[in-house]
Amino acid sequence: MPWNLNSDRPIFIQIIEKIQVDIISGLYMPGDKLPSVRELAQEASVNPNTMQKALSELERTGLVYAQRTSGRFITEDTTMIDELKSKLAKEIVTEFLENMQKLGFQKEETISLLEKTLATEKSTKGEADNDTGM
Amino acid sequence: MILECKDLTKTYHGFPALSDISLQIDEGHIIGLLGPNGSGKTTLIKLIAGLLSPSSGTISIEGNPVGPASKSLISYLPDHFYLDGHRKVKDIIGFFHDFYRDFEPLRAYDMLGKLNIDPNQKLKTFSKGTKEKVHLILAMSRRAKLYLLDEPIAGVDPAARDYILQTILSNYDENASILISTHLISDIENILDQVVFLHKGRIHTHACVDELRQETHKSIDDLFREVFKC
Amino acid sequence: MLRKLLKYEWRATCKVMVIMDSALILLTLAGCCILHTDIFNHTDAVPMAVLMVTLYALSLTALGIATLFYLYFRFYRNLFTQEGYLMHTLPVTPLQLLHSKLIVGYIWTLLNASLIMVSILCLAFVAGYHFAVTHGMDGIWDRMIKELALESPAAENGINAFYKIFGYTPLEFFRQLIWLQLIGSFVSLLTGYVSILLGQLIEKYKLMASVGFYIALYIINQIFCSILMLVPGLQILVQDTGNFLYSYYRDMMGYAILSQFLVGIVFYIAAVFLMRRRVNLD
Repeated sequence: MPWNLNSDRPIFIQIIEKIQVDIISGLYMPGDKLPSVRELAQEASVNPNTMQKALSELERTGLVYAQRTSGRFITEDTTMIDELKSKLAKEIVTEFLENMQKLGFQKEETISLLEKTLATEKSTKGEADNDTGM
Repeated sequence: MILECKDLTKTYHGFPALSDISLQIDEGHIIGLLGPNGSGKTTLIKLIAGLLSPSSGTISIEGNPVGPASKSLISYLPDHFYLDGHRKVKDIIGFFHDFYRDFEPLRAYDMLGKLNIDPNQKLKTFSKGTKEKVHLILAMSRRAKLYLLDEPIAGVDPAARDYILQTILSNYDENASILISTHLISDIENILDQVVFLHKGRIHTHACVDELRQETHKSIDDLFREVFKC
Repeated sequence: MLRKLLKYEWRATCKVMVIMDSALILLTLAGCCILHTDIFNHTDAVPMAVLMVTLYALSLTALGIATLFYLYFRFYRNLFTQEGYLMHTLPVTPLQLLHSKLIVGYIWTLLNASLIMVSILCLAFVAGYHFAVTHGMDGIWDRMIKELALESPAAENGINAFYKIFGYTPLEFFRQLIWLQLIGSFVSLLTGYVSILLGQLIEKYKLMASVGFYIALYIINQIFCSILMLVPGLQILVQDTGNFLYSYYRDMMGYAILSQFLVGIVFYIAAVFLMRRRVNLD
């Protein structure tokens, strides 16, 4: 996944966010070894110190742990990952609801719009599946 | 401390190009020296490199004053071509290897090879962009303590810019520091961890990049435009 | 470090200098061949001969000047243009840079001066030999050796006559000439380098300023030399020796050498001082 980094927010925070999402989405499985700071920094085209800061913060929260000679690893604590997943999901939902409110949608309108959109998505997906003969 | 400037001043016939510059740079940082044209960026870099002498103040590089000792610790990339075009690239590599103990020819050949640049050719036969890359490769093939890059990405196409930034990152050494002067900030700000804003020969700001972003909620590019509004 | 600088300086200047020297050698050989023929035996050939000799002299002068100016140009280009950014950021002292240019430049200047002298001698020898042979002069070798070999002024030959007039033997004259050439070459080289260094002090039009300084330094050198040469002349006025020309010519060369030596020291000190000043490259 490409690193889309915004220059007007601290980079290290954005790095933390991206790695969190990568962990939740399964790109990094629990127990996986992370690439070195240098490699990650080069991949993201950021300053290695910034990358180091982000990883240190992730270590502090426990999402990532370091073994002195072997490098950094994703935590195997699946509960923590699930909790993080819920937390992030909740943040997205809260933001979504706030935005819908700004548009003037009431709660019921929001829910019905959601259901309708999900339904159409399912049917278009089904059509696509039929077309491909699945 | 890799670099320390104390009350550095440079005047040309009464015109102060730099005034009271006091700056300290530690190991392991990539620092952007930012400022509008004429703010004194190149002057400061040339002073550190030993091409100019200060009107007053001191410069020390790892405790050494400017001289052969400091020059052996500094890898300097000027903002224009400075190598003899009539020489072959491999001869220039030999020259650098001869004079600089920390020059690593294998690294240079490796980088040239990845770009399909033939070291047996004379430098003048290459296009402008390729010449820029050769100059950069030579500068980055040294294991110096302080790299001074003066406008390394100006006048170069975006793809080459990416290559240059990647090269700078891949040659990063936590025992060394890189000072990059530029006015193309948005391209470069993600690889910086500190910036120095230079305005009319004085230091306006010297701060960590992410801290600035946190405080101002702006990118360094936006901040620059704001600070140096015409 | 100095050795490395010398190595690269030598390599860089070799190509051009070897070409110039080869041209001189070819010219000399051509001249030798021509002189060995009977081309100049007719009176009609005299203007032709004069022309060829003139051209030859001009070529020699041109070569001498070209050598010097090439070396000046190399000094300027290598240290005070784009390449200066490379040279002045090398881990060397400014003195090492100066010395590398001085040493290599001096070697080339001397070499070329020597080649010029050898060339003249070769042609003179061939001309004389050819003349002697074609006019059936026997025992020319023996005569020449007899004339030149004896250093002692007591002998009755050309050398003695020379000594009576000038106050020293041709050999002594040659010796002093060589000293003059050795020191003179150094001073010529330095004059160019110092002019370039002085030109760098000026804000704009540095090259033009250098040319101006060169002319000025040249004139100053000549004036100083002339002043110093007055000394033997004054000595003659003060003393009242019989053969005044004798002592004048005897001392003349010595004073010329001394003046150049002093000028050389002053110019060298100036060069060292200016190189240390740290240049303001464009």
